[in-house]
Amino acid sequence: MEKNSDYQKDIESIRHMMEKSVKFLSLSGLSGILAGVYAMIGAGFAYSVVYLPQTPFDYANQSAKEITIIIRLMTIALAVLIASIITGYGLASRKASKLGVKVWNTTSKRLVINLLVPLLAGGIFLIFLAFYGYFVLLRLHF
Amino acid sequence: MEHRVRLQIISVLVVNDSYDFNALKELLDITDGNLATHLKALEREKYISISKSFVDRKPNTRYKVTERGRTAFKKHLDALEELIKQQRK
Repeated sequence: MEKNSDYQKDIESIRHMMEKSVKFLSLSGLSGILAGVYAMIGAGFAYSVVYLPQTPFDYANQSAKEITIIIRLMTIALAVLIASIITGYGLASRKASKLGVKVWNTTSKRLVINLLVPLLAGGIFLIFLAFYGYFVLLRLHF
Repeated sequence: MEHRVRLQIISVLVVNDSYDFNALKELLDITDGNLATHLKALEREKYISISKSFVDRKPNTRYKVTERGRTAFKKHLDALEELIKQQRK
């Protein structure tokens, strides 16, 4: 005769197997495509900020190291990042609710953690580059 | 379906379209022979279906749960729930 704890363990192991076996990812591919689109739009804005003369009275474009330019570039980058995150989360939660699954499951948590590490490393690297004025290299990364 | 391993196999198959032998083995952490025995028993009861094919010239066996298996699984879960509730009283 099995004890109550055995029945509990049966149910636990069932639930555990179900979660472990499914590789459902709530993140949708469309959000990745849109993130790229935002990045290209941002690049277009960045180009105009750096390369196009700001007023009809400029006879040359401004140096990329000036602080106003840097602030504008940072705002563009931040806008792209925020737009991408909002789109990503929005599409993921719509897909998850349509399928009746949580957005935040083991798979998506693993994805975010595994992506954050190289993302942060790359971001810090780029900030260092910007700091030391290596804007040419920055442009290639963009 | 009283065996815990058989319950686990069916629970994997109800939340996935299909699952292959090696993936099941890795997931459940049991030996080839052990898994094969349980799968054979489940197939005899017509709770699962087998489809064998070749992937990259290697044999690949995939399993799916049948409607009969799904119903039996659900009944089993209900029974377990009842038993737990009973014993709590």
